[in-house]
Amino acid sequence: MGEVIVVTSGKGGVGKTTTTANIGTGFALQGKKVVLVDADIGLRNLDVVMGLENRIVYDLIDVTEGNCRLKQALIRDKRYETLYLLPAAQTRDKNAVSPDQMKELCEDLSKDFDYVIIDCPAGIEQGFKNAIAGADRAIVVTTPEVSAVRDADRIIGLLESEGKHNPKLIVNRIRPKMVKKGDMMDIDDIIEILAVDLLGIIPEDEYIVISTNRGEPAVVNPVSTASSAYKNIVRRLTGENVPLMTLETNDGFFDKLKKIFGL
Amino acid sequence: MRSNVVFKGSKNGLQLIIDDSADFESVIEQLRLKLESASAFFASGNALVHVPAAKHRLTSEQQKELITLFNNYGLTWQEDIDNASPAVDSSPENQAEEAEADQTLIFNRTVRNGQEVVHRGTVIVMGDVNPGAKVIAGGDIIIHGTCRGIAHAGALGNISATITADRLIASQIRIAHLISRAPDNLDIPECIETARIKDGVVIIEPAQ
Amino acid sequence: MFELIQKLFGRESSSSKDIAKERLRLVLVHDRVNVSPQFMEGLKDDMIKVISNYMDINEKDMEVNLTNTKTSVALVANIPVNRMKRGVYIQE
Repeated sequence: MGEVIVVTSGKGGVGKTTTTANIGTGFALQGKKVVLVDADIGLRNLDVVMGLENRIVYDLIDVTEGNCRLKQALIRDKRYETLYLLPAAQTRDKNAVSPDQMKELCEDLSKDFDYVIIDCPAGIEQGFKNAIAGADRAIVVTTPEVSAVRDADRIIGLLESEGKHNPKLIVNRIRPKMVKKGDMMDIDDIIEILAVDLLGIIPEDEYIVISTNRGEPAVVNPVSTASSAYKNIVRRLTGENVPLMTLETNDGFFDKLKKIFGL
Repeated sequence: MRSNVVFKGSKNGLQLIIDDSADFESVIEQLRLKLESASAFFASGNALVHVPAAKHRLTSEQQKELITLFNNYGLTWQEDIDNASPAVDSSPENQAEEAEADQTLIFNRTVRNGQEVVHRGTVIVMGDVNPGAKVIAGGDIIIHGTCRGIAHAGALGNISATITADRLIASQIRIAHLISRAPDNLDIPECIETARIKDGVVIIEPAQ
Repeated sequence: MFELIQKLFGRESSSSKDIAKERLRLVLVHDRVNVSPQFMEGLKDDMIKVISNYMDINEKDMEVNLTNTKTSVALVANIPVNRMKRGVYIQE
């Protein structure tokens, strides 16, 4: 039986979808059998970030309404053999599916996959409740900004009251230079307030924009710093003890090269 | 925040619950720390402390050590009144006692954004009060942690109620019908502070 | 000089933003085409109203569909006509 992990945050735009895509691809690169589930009914995005948007025939609602079999809706990503996507519906909304249906769906999926990773929509309403219903554990994504951390705290409280204890935290879009100057909260500040275990930190990386443009998750790129961070997170999720990257003001490889060439 | 030493409010006053599996040295240490940080609360009058089944669980040496420690902080050791009920959480008498409206409520973890703790009596929070969280008490509020949320003491009209926290940071403070804010200090307060009403306004001063 | 470095380290010559624009254009075509049933009903009703000014049509057998290929969308309607209405002929 595989593990069902939900990636949530409360606040929108902090990196849930990017994280889901990269962690999922990271697992697939390790040979694990993974299915990514886009639970953002009505505003689907995981398909676009994965570059699979023109392969969609059936979606999650088609499955829960019985219009098709689960296998027909799953899209196999031809680039990474063991990676599949179950896309969200675009013309329905969050009320088109119930938490019980989601639980059943997750149980079915976990029979055939090592990992089921659910991309949770922003907010705390029906979409959130649906997304967490079938999860074994939760990952909370936040950025080092006051509003994101407050929303993460709310979400952690809701997760705990729904029985999803010990959520793990990912702090995304850290800018080491700003942290050094004291213009951005650092990890210790955030952990002190949220009081949950840290799963990983991801530095701000321009390559993320490029990877989304191309529909190729950053984790396959050997040069991007975010890619290394996501790889480490995947290793930690499989039980390895990986020390946190020391984020010095980390000039990217290209910046260093540009400097050498005097550009 | 696992603690081997917990104070509980009951009909007979305060009870000190000690984790049997912990070694006594660390219990004394934790107790000392707790008494240090909560000294303002204990000074306000609930000075009798009862350690359930002490005679059965502690040596007389250990009991003496506890009594000395209590006396240093103005607490009085109370003899075992009721030997038959060790204070285990599930005992029905305890639950009935704690349901009594005017007793002390101990909230054993951080209060998170969106959560509310509401109680007629005094509330003790063993953790932080995060931004967006609320603690509303008819009595005093004591926060063994950082208060960044809303704390309302004396909510039923008691103007002598107080709010004490290890750190009162830019939170909203309400006592009885008055509303105030901890100042937007750039410095984080160095010591435990108490908010109370003095001369008709809410003031914040270092806890005694 | 920088272009050389880019080529050396495998950056493709079509910038990623152009790839993004093209993907976005296609995906929006698809999104807009996946319209709700209410939308189609509304469209159908309005079409019936207008066409009925000119001819009597068989509403029951009327079919209206949005078809989409990878690159384009078409509204295709098959509307059986019973008869033309009198007095509407445009006189040359």
